[in-house]
Amino acid sequence: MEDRYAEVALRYAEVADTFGAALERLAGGYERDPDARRDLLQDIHVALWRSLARYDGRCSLRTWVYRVAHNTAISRVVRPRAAAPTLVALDEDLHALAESSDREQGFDRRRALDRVHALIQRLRPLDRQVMLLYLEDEDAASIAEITGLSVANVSTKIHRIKQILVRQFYEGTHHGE
Amino acid sequence: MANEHEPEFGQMWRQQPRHEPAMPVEEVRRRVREFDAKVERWKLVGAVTVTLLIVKNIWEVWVDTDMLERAGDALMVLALVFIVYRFWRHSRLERVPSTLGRMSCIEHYRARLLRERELSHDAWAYVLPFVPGFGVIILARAFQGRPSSQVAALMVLAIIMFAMVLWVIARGRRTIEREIAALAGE
Repeated sequence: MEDRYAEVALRYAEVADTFGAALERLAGGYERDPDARRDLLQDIHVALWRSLARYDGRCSLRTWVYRVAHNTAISRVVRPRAAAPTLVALDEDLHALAESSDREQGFDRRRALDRVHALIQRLRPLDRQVMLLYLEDEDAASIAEITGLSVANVSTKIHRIKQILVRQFYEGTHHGE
Repeated sequence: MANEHEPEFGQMWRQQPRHEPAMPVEEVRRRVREFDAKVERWKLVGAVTVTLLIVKNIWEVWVDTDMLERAGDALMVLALVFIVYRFWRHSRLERVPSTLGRMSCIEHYRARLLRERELSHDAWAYVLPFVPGFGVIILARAFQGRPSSQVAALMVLAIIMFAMVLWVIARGRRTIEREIAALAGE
């Protein structure tokens, strides 16, 4: 029993060390309010602690951690009945998504980050997950394994995400010129 | 022109400052225990509430003198027990956290939607059990010589209440169906 606990504790420490910052950003992608974000992050850590005892190595630890984190966040944050009608898909409203936030003069990192956050929170669950994983520099194959989408589908979504991000960035610099 | 700036967003995202300090292992364990205790407390609150409702209805069966009213109260007890059983069965199907890492995001989301749809699928199963009890109680009051306007008001109230419950459930189910259909296209 103690051995098992020690093993889980060791694995958890490794996960917290490696993915701690990414998990915090992930929580920020689902919740903008600091208190809600903190609560979600704690829920994710609790879910990870519980799940690590059952980790069987059938997928990489990275895939496991991201799956637990995103699945916990989706269960907690996105309530299908209430939220679904207001969320949009990456491929249904590109123009609106890119122009939904205030236009600012010049490129400002903080404002640009706020726009990215606003954009993420308007997305449907799966698109949101793809975008968050893309921003974490995961490749299409990894994103496909975590989300369960096909690599081709993920690649298409990433292409759309790039278009939207570039459009936002370009608008920022263009307005500032 | 725009493409040369593309990597900026990923870097910018990953360079966000951390707001939360890392949680030590003991802190996570404490939160796991707290979470378990909270779940147990809520289960207890739910059980006590339902027990009180059932006891109240059994007491009414006991003290009422009118046979029809007693039958109505008894039917309400049965309806409550049936609903409790349905929720208990549904809660047993809830996923344990260990499977969160075994399921991809799309599988998890679909499973969650299907569970919600299952819960709302048979809306009548939540409403119908209460109809006989309400019906018999209203009938009993009519036979007790209450003014017909009062009996009619009770009937209208019951119908509106049942219709509203059904409408809310059906609306939720339509949203879930749309989400499931959207997932099928992924």
